[in-house]
Amino acid sequence: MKTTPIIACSIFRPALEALGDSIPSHPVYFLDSRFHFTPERLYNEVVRITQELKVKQVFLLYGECSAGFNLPIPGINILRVNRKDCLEFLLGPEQTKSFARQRCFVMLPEWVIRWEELFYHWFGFSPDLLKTYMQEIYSSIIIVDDHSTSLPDATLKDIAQATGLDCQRYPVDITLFRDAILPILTELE
Amino acid sequence: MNTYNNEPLFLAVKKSNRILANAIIDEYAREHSYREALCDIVKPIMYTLGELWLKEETTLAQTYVAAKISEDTLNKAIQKGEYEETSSDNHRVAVIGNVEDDFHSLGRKLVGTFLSASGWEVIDLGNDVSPAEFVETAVSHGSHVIGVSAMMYSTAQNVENISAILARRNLKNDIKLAVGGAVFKLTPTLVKEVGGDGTASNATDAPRLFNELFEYREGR
Repeated sequence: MKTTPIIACSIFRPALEALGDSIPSHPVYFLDSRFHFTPERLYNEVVRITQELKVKQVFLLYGECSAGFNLPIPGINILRVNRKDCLEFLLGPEQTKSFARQRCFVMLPEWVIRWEELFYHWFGFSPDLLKTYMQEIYSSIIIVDDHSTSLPDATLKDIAQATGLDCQRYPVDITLFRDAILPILTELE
Repeated sequence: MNTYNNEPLFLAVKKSNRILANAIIDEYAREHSYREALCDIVKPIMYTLGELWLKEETTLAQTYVAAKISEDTLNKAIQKGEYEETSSDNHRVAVIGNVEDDFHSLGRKLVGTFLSASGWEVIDLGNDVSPAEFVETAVSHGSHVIGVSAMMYSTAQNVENISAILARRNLKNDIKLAVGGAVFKLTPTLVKEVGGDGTASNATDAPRLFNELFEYREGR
C-alpha cells in the first residue's frame, strides 16, 4: 500500500521541519502559500500531485483560508484537520478568534518574511492605499513567532511603518501545531 | 440605452486608483447625479469584478477600491439630497451582519451600501454576530429581512442556527433570511442546506433579493 503523502501550505514548512522526528514521517509536498487566495489553482495542484504519485488519498495540510477550499475532488480522499484557517493551526481556535475580535491582522512567519510580496503583489495595494486599508479594517498587527524562523525586529518595524499599525510579536509553542496534526498522522500509521 | 464608455472607470479600479475612480464618477455626476452614477457606472464595475473574482483574477486592493468608491458615491448622493426620505408606508428595514465566527466584512459593507442606495434602512451588526442578536434586532426594529454574510463553508454552517431560532419562534413567515458570501456563490445548494430563503450573485444584486423576500412575505 502506498504511503499517504502530505500536501502542505508552505506557511507550515518551518513548523513541520522544526517538529522533525517528534511526528510520524510522511513524504511532504509543499505548495506556495499564494494558493491561499486561489482555491481552484490549489486544487489543480493537488490533482496534479496525486496523479503523478498515483495515490487516491492525501493529507491536505491547509486551513480553510478561502471559499472553496472544502470542495471535494472526485476520486481523491482528502484528509484534513478541522481548522478554519492556517492561523488556528498555530494559535488554536480560541486565540485566533480573540485576535479577530480585537481586529488584529495576524501574520505567520513566512508572510512576515515575504511581507512586501504579500501586501504589494498579492493584495495589490499601493503604499498609500495599504495604510488606508489596514487602518480602516484592523487595529494592530500580531506577528506569530513559533521560533522556527528568524523574524528580525527591523522587519517588524518595516511592517509597522508600511501599515501605520502597531506591530507586536506573539510567541507560540509549536506543540499546538503538533497536537493539531498528530491525530491524522497517527491514524495514517 | 446607456452608451457611456465605462472603460476608464474600470481601468482606474483595476489599478486600485481610488482618487482617479472618484474623479471619473464626479465628472459623470456633474452631467447626471451621484445616484445615477451608482446605478449606471459603479454597479456594472462591481458586477464585472465579481465575475473576475470567480476566475481568481482580482486582488484585494481592487475589491477594496470598488467598495470604497461605491460608498463614496452613495455618501455624495446622500449629501446632495438625491435620496428622498422613504415614506412610512414603504419603509423597509434590513438587518445585516457576518455570521458568528466570520470576520470578512468587505462584502457585507458593500451589501449595506447598495441596500441603502435602494432606499432600505440598514442596521449593520458587524462581524461575528450571534444568531440570537440577528433575530432580536430584526424583531425589535420591525425588520422582515435578515441578511447574513459568510465567506467559508465552515462559518456558513452557523447560518443554520439563525434559521433554527426563527423556526422555534414561529417567525419564518415574517422574517426572511437572505444569505450571501463567496461560499454560497461557489456552492449554491448550500443556501437551502443552511435554511436560507435566497441569495444574490453579488452585492449589487442584493436589493433585488431583499425586495423579493420582502414582497414575498407581504404577498403571503
